[in-house]
Amino acid sequence: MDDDIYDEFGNLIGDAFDSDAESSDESALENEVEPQDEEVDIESDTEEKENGIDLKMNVDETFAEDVKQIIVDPAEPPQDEPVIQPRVEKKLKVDFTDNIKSDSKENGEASIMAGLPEVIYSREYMIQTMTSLPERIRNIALVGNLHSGKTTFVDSLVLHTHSPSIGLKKSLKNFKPLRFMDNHKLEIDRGTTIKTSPITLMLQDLKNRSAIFNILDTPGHADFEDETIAAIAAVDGIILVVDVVEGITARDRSLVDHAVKENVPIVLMLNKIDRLILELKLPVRDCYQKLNYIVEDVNQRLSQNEFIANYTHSTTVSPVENNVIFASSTFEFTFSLISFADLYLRKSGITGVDIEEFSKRLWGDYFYDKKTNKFSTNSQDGKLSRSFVSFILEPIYKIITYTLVSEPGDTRLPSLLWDNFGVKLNKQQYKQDPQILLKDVFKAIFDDNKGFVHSVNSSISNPRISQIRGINSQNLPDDSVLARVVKLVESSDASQFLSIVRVFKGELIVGSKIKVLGENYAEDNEDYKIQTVEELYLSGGRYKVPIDVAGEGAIVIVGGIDSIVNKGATILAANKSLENCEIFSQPNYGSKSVFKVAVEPANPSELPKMLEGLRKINKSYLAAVINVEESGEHVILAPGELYLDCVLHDLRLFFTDNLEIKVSDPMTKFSETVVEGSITKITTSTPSGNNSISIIAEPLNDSKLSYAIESGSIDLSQPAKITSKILRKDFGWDALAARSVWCFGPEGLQSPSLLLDDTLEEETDKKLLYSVKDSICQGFKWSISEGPLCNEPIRNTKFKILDAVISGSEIHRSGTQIIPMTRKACYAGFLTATSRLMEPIYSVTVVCTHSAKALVSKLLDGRRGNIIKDWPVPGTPLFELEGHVPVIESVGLETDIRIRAQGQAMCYLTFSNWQVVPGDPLDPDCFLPSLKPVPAESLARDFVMKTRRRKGMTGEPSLQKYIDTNLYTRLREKGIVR
Amino acid sequence: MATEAGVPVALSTYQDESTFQFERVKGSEIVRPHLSLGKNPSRDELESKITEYYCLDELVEVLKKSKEDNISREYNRITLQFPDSLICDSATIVHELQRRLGVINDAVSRQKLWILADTSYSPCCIDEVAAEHVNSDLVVHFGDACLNPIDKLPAVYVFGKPVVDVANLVNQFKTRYPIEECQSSKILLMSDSPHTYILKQVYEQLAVEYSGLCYADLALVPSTKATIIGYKPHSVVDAKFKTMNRALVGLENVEDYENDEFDIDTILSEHELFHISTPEAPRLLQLVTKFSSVTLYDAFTKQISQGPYPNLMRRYRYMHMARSAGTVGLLVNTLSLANTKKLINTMAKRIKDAGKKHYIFVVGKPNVAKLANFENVDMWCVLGCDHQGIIVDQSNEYFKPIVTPYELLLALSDELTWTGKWITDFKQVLKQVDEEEDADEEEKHDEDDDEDAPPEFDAVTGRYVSTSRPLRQLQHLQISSQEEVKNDVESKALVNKLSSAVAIKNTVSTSAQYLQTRHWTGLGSDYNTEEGEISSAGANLEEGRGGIARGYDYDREVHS
Repeated sequence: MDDDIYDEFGNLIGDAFDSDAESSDESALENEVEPQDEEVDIESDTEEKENGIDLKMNVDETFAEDVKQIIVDPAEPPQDEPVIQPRVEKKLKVDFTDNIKSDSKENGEASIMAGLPEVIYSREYMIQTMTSLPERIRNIALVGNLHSGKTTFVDSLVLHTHSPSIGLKKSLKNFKPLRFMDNHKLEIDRGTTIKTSPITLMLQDLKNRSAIFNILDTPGHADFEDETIAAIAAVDGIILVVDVVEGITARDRSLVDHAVKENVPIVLMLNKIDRLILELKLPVRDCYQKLNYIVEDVNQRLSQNEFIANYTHSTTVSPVENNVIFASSTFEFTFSLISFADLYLRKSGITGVDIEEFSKRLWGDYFYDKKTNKFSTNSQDGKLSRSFVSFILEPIYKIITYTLVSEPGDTRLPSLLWDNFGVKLNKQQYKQDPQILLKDVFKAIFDDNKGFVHSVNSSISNPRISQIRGINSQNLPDDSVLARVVKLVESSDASQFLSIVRVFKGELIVGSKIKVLGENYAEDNEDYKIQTVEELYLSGGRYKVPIDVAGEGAIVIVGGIDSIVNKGATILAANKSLENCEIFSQPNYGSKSVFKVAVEPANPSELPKMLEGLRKINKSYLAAVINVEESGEHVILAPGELYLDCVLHDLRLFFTDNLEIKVSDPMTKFSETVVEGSITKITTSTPSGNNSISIIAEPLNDSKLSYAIESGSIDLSQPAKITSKILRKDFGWDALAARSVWCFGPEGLQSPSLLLDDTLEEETDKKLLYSVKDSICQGFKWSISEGPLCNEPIRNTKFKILDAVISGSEIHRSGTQIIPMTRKACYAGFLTATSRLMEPIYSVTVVCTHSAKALVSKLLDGRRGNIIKDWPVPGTPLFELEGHVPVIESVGLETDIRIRAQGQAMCYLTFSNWQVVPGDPLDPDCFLPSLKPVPAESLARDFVMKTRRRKGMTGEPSLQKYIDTNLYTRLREKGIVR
Repeated sequence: MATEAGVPVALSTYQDESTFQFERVKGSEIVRPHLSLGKNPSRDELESKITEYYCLDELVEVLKKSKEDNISREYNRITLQFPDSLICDSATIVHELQRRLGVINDAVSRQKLWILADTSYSPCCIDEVAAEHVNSDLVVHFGDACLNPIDKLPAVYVFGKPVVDVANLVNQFKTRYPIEECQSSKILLMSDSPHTYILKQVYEQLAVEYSGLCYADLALVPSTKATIIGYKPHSVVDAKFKTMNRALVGLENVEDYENDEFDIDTILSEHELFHISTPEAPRLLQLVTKFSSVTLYDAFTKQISQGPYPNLMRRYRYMHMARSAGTVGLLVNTLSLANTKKLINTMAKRIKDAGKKHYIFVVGKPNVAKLANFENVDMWCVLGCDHQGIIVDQSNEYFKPIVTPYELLLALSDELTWTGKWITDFKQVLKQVDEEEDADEEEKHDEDDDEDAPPEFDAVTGRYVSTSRPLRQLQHLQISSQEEVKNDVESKALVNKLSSAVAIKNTVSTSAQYLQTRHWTGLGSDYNTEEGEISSAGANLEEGRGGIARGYDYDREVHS
């Protein structure tokens, strides 16, 4: 690798527009070709004998001494194998530790430690503190919208804690962020985070006490919400990073909701406040209003949340409560009210003022009267300015103005700095470019991130006392081990997987044995394995620090335990008995994965390679769902286009050796539903005639209830009484119906189709019916996971058992009899109830200028989408639009908008809901033009028939298959069915 | 009426009195579409049609054939096998044959005729087992046949001669393949065996215009003891181009295939198929995989159709499911096909080697309900005739997926491959196994670390499955069970429950394991006391039911 063009992390630091450098960057990352030719040497020997020495002499003259010679007879038939087997060294991730390891194989661990980047503190001390004083640990995740500056903020912490060499070699020419946490090739290329990655740093608070910060940097793009969810599962609190210009976006709102649901405290970071001053040039008073507006926006969202009653943390965010931080990650400074107050008190040498009290007067309706030098709660008709404005904003405005107009020799800035903050820069620094100077100025003033550390320390509890979420852990004995594999990360050459593990209780020790419980442990009690902790690391972003023990509260990287881990797992002590043990419930990552493609290897013999690649994709990408469909196609489901793009990139280049795959056109998942009640009751019996059941279908016209089921606020694992109470109170069900809910389905307990027992005591033997409840539920789930229209799951449909005759003999009512019968009955009920197809809908959020509004709405119109509402973003010339577009029509929308609007509009797509596709899927007379767009009223039919054809299902979806032939003929004659 | 003692055998299909009351034929109208009779035919008309359709004259000649001594006839015990669709003609045929052979009047002749109805396995195959029940020395097989070689008995095929509107057929053909576009396209004419007799005629009419046309004539395996009545294949016995019991006629003139090195599968894949009559699903699937396109012509409705056809890729999914299945049911749906026994044994061994558990089932006319009775089987592997005997589940009716031996072999191999072929011939499958075994021996690896193997990744669901190899812990199990044998003298338990597996006589039984998790665990389970100990008395042994399914001993006593 050419040292002048790259820094030690493989980042290109030469001219970005130099195409030569760009291409060599690629090759440097992907593979280095080195000749390796033992075999060929032999060949050349024989060659020499035959052809004499002449040839060799010639070659010697032509090439320099260090060139290896290979002589091949051109007359020989060409072989399939290349003469020189290229040594492929795949490396798609930057990992500094790998280089060190290979350099210092002989010298053992000590030299690895020595080879790591220098930090301003002692690593040994950090590790020691971490294991001995868990209460000093803070586990946080940085979350927020795309480009809100999360990764850049970590950069500033890294630069602060590491020796300056880590950020060196940066000139103004390529003033681009370090992006220390982005180490996957895709992340570097795209300049955006796609994977959650941890880093452990030691930071100091206002009293110079050290704290260990385990920080998880998460992706901002809505497609990668899975990574964010995984990160939140590992931490004790989140830092919500907001770009103050854009304000709270739809993505931020959903993050707030998730945090409340997960019951984690929120610290709000108002990032990029420099943009308010430098870009928007807001007057100083408006600046306060803008900041206040954002804080209130978050508070409003918090108060509206449905889970807020169970939220055990502060239900408001406010600078006064010390859970709002002001920051500018570009200029590398953060402050809170307290740290600013501290600045004042420390630099001015005033004593006897309570810093807390002082800081509380710096926000809100406090006004500062310069004459009397007193705070008041009255602005005196606007004559007085707010304390926040006069104490904090005005100095910052002043600093920026002076810095930008500063010229060498100008004394205003140095005197301002010295008089107010007691800092001075050396003369050389004043000569720099204003941008860099500004950075230096802020660095001199704010010095470090103590305000941030203080806020986190006070708002987010330490792992000792923070509650363990996702498990009912009250009765855990003290000596037990409990840890959670949050997600897996691949090593830099993708040969193995490492687990990101949060230790909740006990210790993980290198070489010790632990029990790893897979995510299906609850259903399949074979799904566990005793494994050895082979490697243990603290993460440093682009390097790893080997450690021996990870104690309570640590977030570490563990090697060697991933063999049964799919997305996540639970770790227990090896000697723990597995009776009644609980595992961490896995977040439902795949529920929003509605966008799909089918893949197959271009060369069929490479199928095993592709399967191995898919297996790794499944481990590496949380929201990716891999399956083989009815049609025999390998299908990858992902939440969105960008996500799928990354998955396919990795499948081709990272997890396989440049495997050629064929990728189908993008498709979506569908669902089936009904819009009216069944027109007639049809009784289905078993072949033996001993049992029969009648089930009808009805639409579940209650989106609130569907949402409640999916979000888990109604859960059948609760006692039946609670469920029925919720149904009665919140959804207005009558008591009988509320009590008779049997089952949700199809997947888990969280899909909104349900089965009701609506039988009457007089007609049906309830006791017998209950004895086969399991079988009926199983049949019900089977039928609604593969609907009769085109084998897609059934949603939003209420199935009611009207009556049933169940045989008194145990053998007669075995599952094999009941399950198929229930399935048929469900289908019969479904097909007699005006069935419809449903498709997933994305909600579109666009931030754009006024002029781009019309364009965006036109683009959406062409894709069956629409804009629902729009509003101006306060304090900016921007507008935020919210609308909907069907997922199947959304392909390329993001690019389309960007190109047409020429950067004036940014759009975010997130899965929002399911909607009925217009048209009757069962109507055989639908007009289906070939090679032309299908009219709206035939869409459903078109989708169903195409899906059926793709899946290789023969014929029409028809009731005929599921009911008695005589009955069908009778129904037809009466004109009830077509 | 028998007493309560007549409780059914555990796990067998439940039977009671109603099971033995046979359905009476309700309607008297018999539809015989194949004979193309007019309305309300007279008896004579019917008889003459039947004689004509089944070429009874010729058949009688064969049956009358005498032994070398010229006195007694060669075949004395003759079984007539009918598929369900032709059973309506059986009585008439037997009467006619008996009359002509003089069986009734002539006391000298010792010839006897039996009707084999309700063939247990695929009706296209010759039912040797049924024939052996009466020590038959000749089977006359009526209707469509697969012509697959059988092991022992001599057989005579009578396909019948259905009437075909040749003019319509030719017209339909021409609309499907317009002469301007397809003049030299490679098209193959094929049909089921009854319709084959018209192929030559059709071919001759069309070959004038279509230069790339050829047709598939019947071809019996040279070694077979079977003969065909009513139709003489025009092709020579040692035809050059042979596949699927057919000889391809008309290919000899094509230049591409003149030299001796050709691959029959490549030839087929270059051809479009025009098939007269609609074959059963397995046969159709096979045809679809072999030809570049398939067009079906239904001789009754005179319509052509081009799909939808069974999809091979659907089977790919089943193969994946087979990989993660723990228990495989070998479903034997044939007894007469050559190599059946060998294949059963080979498959059983392969399944065992792969660490999976297998059970062997012999089920005649399998259907959804019959197979659903065995809940613990994760995957069925059906051994049957490729003509009709393989279950191709088109509409996902079956509770558990069904694969063919070839697909199961693919699934069991260490590295998964998919060839896009669909091999159903037992011989070829066995060849495949041998090849694989040769390869395996070369790189036999140490399998000691088996127990520590990670769970299997199931591509169908994207999950990890740990139950796919129940026999993996076998070694582990053997060690512990040997130890236990010593103490076992006093133990009366038939089933040993070891750490995580259940063993019956030292073999892992996934069925027993499954049964343990069920609410109802079979007869006698109600004798268990609450602590799970078996009470010393146990149940009394009773003599069960005997006889054959047609009428059990007990049944005869009751009803006679």
